[in-house]
Amino acid sequence: MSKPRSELHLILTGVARDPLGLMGLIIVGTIVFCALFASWITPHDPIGMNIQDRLQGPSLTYLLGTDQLGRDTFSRVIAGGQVALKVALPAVFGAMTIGLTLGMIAGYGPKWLDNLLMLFFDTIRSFPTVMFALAVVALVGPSLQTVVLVVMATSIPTYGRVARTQTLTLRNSEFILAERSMGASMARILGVHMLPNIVGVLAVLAAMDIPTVIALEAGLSFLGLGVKPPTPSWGALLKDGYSLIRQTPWLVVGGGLPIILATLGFTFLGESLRDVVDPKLRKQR
Amino acid sequence: MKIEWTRAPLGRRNFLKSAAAFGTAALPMGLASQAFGADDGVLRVRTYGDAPNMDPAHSVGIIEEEIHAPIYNKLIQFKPGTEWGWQLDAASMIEQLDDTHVKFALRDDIGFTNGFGAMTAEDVKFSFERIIDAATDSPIKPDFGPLSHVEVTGEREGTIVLNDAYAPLFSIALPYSAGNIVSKAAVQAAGGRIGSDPVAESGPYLRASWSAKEKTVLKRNPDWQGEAPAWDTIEVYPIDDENTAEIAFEAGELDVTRVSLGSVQRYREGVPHGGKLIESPSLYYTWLGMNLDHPKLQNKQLRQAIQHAIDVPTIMEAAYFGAAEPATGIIAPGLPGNRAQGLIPPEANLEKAMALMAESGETNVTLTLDIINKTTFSTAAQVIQAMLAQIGITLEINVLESGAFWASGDNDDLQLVLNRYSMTPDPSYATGWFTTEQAGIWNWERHANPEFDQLHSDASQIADPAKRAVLYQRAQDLMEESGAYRFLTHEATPVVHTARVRPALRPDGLPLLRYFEKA
Repeated sequence: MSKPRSELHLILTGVARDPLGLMGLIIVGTIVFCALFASWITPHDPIGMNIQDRLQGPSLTYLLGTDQLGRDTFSRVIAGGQVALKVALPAVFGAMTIGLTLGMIAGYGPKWLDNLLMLFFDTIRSFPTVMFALAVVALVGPSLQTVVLVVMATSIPTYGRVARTQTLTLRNSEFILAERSMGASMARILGVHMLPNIVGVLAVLAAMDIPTVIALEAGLSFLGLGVKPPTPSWGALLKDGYSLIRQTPWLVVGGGLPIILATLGFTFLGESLRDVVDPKLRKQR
Repeated sequence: MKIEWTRAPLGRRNFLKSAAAFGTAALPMGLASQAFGADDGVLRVRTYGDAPNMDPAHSVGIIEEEIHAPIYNKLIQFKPGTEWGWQLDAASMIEQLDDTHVKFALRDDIGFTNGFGAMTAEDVKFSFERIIDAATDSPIKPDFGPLSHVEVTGEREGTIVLNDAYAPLFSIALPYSAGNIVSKAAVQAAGGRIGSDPVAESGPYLRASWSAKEKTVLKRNPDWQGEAPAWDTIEVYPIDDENTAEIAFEAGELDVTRVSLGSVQRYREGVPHGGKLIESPSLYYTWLGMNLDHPKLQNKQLRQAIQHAIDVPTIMEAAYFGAAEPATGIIAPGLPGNRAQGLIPPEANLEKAMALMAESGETNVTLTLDIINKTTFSTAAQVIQAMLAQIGITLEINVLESGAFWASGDNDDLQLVLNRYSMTPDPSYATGWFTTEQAGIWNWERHANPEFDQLHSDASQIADPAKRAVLYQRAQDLMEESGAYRFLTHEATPVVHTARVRPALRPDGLPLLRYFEKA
């Protein structure tokens, strides 16, 4: 008798069977691998200056050329991936966790609490994300933590609203009514019965949110308000590249290409995950 | 001829036909665009920003002055060239009678447009006194310093009366924004304030049109009796980004533009359209400042260690592409008071810096450096960060957007700052920001030295440039001795122009449009 396959195995197999999903998986896998093992992959110190070699084109020594301080662009792209994921993963995971908790409470709790939390979500959503980020950065100064907190704060309502809707749909399901009639506590109902039915949808949402967060971090860094120099980031590479585009186009390539790839990769993966998690939707497409 | 329009179905085929016809029709327009280099009597220049304000009393800088200067007149104007000087403009004569009296006579051939008659001494009096009048709230009031009033002694004669001697009268006040003469009758008819429409012009050019953030068009003034300007029309394009301006220049759509320092080397090797590159020293000054009131920066030896650890030539190479020279102070070459060399050489002296660090007794020093979010400053800051790391100082770079950065003057938490101020061609304009009364306003280092304040005050009242120079040089010595400043550069103004233009530039490379000639 064969061993039953795990849920994760089924999802991964489902994604791998979809050509776009496979491509997304490869791209995301590569980005994560590069970020995890950046210190082994980077051929040069990403912040080590060598002004004599500044603004060089691609060569065997410098695969993507060098920036205005003679730093290896390829090494900075790889190290920039670390920053992108350091911002995107905690921000998205944090927003998802908080949004999920609040959304489930809103959907399952009393009406007044639901109204209060919805007001809270709508208030946060009413701030344009970039303007909110600029205001916070101007007040407390730019840093990795600030960017993570800003992104997390602005993303909570999205997850909260989805979690609330799913909870509202499930709260009158027969299996929930049965649990309730058997005297199950609210914590048990939410944690054991509802959570597994909601988390899949939110995971798909999170996968598709990661490129948005990476782009936001890059945008703030492009404005010079992301991570502090000399920490490499894709947005900072783009900013320098734009200023120096008449001297070398390679900084723009180095900053732009990983953002495009990350966006495509996470979007393909997210869409494929959605199809696997929700087969009904796939049939409709 | 009557053209009858018939309705045609919009299908793919018709769309393609229309597109082909449009493309054919657009071809000559494209050629016309390429023919910008031809002598059509139109000069196309680029400026940094739009100039909607036509009131000289509310001028906020060179962008507006570039337009005001050709359409208004002053008693004297800056002389184009490589050395600072002035020449007569609306004045037929100007003479310093004593320290506080300057007599002038106006030419008899200058008139205002829109029927506002000939320019008179009353117009001069009105224009100057309007700027110092508190009710006008003019941002350029300080340019006139101790101006008391203008005495009208004849229809076209008058005397400028000062409360104290004021050397910058001939280097800032009269030849720059504050010196523009407007029509008293026209301004009064307009309710006392000029808006985006110049109510009456008098210069060799008239502002023919202005499209916000797009273009300002100047055309010859048909009533101008002075020497005829060379160009029939001048089109001024506000383009903020230098990369964009360079592309426009290379495409033949601009005749003159400032270019980025990063492009200087490329243009040194050759300028498109047979044009030329003119490299002028700029008056701007850039420095690393240290807040003397901050608890972390109370130790003078620590500050001196920072001064000696910074290698200015390396910053010039990395951030300014080797196109700018190290500065010796805040007063640029060519102005009275410029120092041939500073007290601290531009090159770093790491041994001395480390010795000073040891003497200071400071260890594990962590400081912040505030910069504006521009690549040049970010690059310079990272070089400084690496240099200070060599003497054991950890530097954290705070990148601020423009609004937050320029509000840093009263920020008590400010530690180190990379700063850049603009300048007019008089040394008093530089030293004025570093006096005790400016502490926490524009004197971000909180530099407070009574001797410095006295030198600044005395020097502005001395007419002799050589004597003034000695005082300003001593003032900069004091700044450097305080340990609060590491002077970096005055930058540079590289300008490219096409072969058909002979630009008229101030010594700092800024354009004097009314004097531009044809090659």
